[in-house]
Amino acid sequence: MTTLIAFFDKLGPEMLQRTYEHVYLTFLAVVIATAIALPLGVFLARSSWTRFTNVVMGAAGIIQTVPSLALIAFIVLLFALIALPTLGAFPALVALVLYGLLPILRNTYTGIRQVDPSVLDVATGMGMTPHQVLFQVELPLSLPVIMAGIRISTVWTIGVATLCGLIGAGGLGDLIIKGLRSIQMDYLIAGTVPAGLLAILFDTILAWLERWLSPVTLSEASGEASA
Amino acid sequence: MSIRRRTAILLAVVMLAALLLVLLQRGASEKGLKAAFDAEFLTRPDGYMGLSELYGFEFSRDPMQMDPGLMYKAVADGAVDVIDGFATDGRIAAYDLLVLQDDKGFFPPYYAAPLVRAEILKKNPEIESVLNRLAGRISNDEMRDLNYRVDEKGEKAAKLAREFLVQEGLIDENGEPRTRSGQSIRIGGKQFTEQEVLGEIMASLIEYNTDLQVVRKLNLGGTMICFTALKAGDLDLYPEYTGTGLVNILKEEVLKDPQEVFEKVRREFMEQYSLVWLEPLGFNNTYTLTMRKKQARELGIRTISDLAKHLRRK
Repeated sequence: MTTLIAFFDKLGPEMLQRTYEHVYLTFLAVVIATAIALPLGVFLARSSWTRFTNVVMGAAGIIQTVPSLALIAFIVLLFALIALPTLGAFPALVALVLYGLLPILRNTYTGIRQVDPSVLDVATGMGMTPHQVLFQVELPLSLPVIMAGIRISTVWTIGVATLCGLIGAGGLGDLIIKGLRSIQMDYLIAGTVPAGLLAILFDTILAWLERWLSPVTLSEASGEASA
Repeated sequence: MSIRRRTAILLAVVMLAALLLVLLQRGASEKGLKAAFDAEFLTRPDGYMGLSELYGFEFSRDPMQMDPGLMYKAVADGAVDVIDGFATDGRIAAYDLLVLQDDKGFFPPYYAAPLVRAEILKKNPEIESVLNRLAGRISNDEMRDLNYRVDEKGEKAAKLAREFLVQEGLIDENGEPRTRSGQSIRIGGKQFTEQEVLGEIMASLIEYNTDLQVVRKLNLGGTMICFTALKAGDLDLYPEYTGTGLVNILKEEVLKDPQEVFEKVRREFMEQYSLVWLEPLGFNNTYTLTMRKKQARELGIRTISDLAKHLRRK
């Protein structure tokens, strides 16, 4: 108990501050990555321009193969060349967004592509406009797959964001690096445990959102009716 | 509630949260001097915590944590204003930076010397005399120059190390590394240029003057990683600084006399860990607080006390 009090006495305030920075980086990165990848994925899935689709998916795939540490270093070097800030939250966010794109892009693309063509035929046959087909048929039906992509992206981003401490962006990585440099267990715990908890928390929230946004299914509807 | 309305609510909440985060972050970046220190400086007793306590100052915004390799550029470009420069780093002069005078004498002397396991010296006694040929050979200016050539001129540490040894007459220009006995020795080093250069200098010296095979494990994560590995027998030697040994490893009070510090760490390391400090190489790589010359002049800051006074005024 006294060790616990000593632990929070020493590291509590910094843990809070770093967790906040971590949430800041992760949340914004995932929101921006989703804002880019989701519309792009929809567009690619519905376009018949295969070559362009292959190029975009390939590019996103290549970014993913770059080790995350190297990607951050690469962004710093690139930004130094074009006179953008090389330190702090901005370069970190760019790296995180790039890294978070692929799972969302790929899942959106696959999700929309796997909607049963006969369902689309029915929708069109009922006189739905392409706009209505997208928003009332394709997106709701592929929602679980898209959300799975966002969840993967979020959990990855929380992990990769621990490396952003190296370029002065703060976050829980700062505590982990301190623990490594000084071989002190309390710093490592103070950095790792909140990162793990954040991953679980974000994943739970997203799972709940997915259910909240899903269309009411037939079985649920009849259940409600009989209740 | 329809899906459409739920989606709209979700979007609104996400946007609001993002906006709130950005605004909060903006609010945090107020005016005043900004500092960036490396992780080791932030955790060591002879680092930021002790320093700010002795001089009685704090920055209006918590110091940023940064990789030591990035600090010099960051302060030169004005991204931050104060860093914990290493006195022998060539970039301090190259980027027109000013080392603030430690007028209250917070930092101990940090003379570099090879730190070796006693067991290894017993097995290979020649190492001691070979490495002691480096005693007092490298001045502050020479070390700064070597660091500068690697950091800014892009020279390879290994090549530079051999050139240095030839120039000092410690190895023959046309010499070859001796044939290997099959016995090996593992040399470690921390993750910054100076340690890599020193590691290479010691490695070449051993390769040209003994039959031992050298295994290089340079660029390890930091003081405690090297020290823990050495203690555990996973390394045989690495360059360490006397003040770091005294304050960071032994957790002793700061002493100011270089000879006294050396004697103390030599005695204590032998007794506590069976580790031997060989003769110091000559230079003193102390921690410093470092600012842009121009800004320091404008603010009238020359010593750490001046900086403390300036920070307290805010």
